[in-house]
Amino acid sequence: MTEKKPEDKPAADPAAAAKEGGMTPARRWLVNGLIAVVLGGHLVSLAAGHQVWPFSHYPMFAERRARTKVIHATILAGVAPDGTEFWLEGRQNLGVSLSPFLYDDPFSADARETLGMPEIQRRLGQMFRYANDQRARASTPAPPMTALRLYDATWSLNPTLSNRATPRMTRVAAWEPAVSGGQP
Amino acid sequence: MIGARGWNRFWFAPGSAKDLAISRILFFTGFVAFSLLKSFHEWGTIPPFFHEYRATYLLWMGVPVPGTGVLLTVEWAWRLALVFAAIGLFTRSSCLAAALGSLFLMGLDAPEVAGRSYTAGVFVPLILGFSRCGDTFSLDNWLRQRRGHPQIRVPEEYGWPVQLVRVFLAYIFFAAGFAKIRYGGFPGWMRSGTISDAILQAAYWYSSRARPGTNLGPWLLHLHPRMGLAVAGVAQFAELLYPCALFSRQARKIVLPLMATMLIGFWLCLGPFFYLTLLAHVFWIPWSAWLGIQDRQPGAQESAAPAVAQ
Repeated sequence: MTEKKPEDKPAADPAAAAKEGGMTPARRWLVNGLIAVVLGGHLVSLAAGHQVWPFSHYPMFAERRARTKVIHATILAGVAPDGTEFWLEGRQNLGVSLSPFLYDDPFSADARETLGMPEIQRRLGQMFRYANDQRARASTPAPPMTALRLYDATWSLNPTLSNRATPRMTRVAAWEPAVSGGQP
Repeated sequence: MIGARGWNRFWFAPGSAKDLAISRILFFTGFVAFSLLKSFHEWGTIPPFFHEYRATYLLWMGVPVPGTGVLLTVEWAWRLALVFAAIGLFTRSSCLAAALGSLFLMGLDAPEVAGRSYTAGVFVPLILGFSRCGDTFSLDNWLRQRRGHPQIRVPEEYGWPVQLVRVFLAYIFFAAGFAKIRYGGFPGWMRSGTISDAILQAAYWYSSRARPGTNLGPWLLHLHPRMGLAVAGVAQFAELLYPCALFSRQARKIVLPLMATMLIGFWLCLGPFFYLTLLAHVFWIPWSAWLGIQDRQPGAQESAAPAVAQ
């Protein structure tokens, strides 16, 4: 005979529990209200197929896309004082909260078409200043960038990843303080 | 009446005060570690065109992104609430403050596009804020005992918070599996190559907030041509079957370790890490049975004697 574990215990009869000093009806209503809010909000999100964070229907990687052998991305590249270029990523350049995943949309081809290039230039200027502040504040401070360039990048997907560092890059715009003006 | 009885049996079955308390301590301790790695105050200096990515509820309410000084203060108050919740000091208030802090700070951090991994950081503290999770293994209880006030334990109070966290987790995974059917079809999504493509693309550039730290994904895909199909199949079935863990101990033994492995696998292969969701799995573990420290009889009073004298 196997020993019953504590969580196998049968549920208490609520009425009997109340007599023994169990949860009061008011307390039970409060908990039922909490259950209704937590689960109700999520079920509405699920039924509507729409997220209003923190309620979500969790559609991660759910969209079925046509298979593709290429990947397109928007890349910001900083220019170091010695003229070398580096991709703007990582804590030293962007801090903890930003990442290329987040800056892809505000600099995307759609955004450029909708907002126009003057707005994209203004955004580049703000990113330039923000990234330079981050570089100055980093645990190992890096020299300030001299320019920030916006590229459209395309990779041909290869399971060996041999071309990961060498996408086809098309320069779209750039911010250089000397050329683009002072404050963004 | 059967419905009401079934509802009560499901939600208000007696639980263990110690299980709830140990889960609270572990969850909030892990949450404190997470909070120290985050810098939500950066949103005070991040270029303003990113502010449109804050939570929809903040946009609806017209709440602007405050300056760095205000955000730093809120951030440290939130961390303090997490520490207090872990040690059980002003436990309920601390849990509710932690939930509110998460709702606001994580709400600034582009949650509509990259915040699904944060939701456990809002809902678990919220649930615990309404519970009596500080009835034992807490400074509150220790202080109560020093003052000679006995703690009357009501076993029904310790079951529902654990159950609600479990149901919340079951919802997350079921919804994720359901979304794949809704948007990709069944078994169309599994066979579509979506997950293989996502793994390969993540190895090239950012398909979520972070890049995967390893090349494990492409390496796995390289092992066998149908590896992507297998990963997609296991992921979708594990997600859809997760709610079975609520009702079956046997299912629990399979589904929970499998899902924990999947979450770590997604982190290594795709980049997003559902750390807080993984952490919330501490609520599945019957700690007191494992550690041999079961509660006393239901309705028993805690000793009024100071803990130090026991």
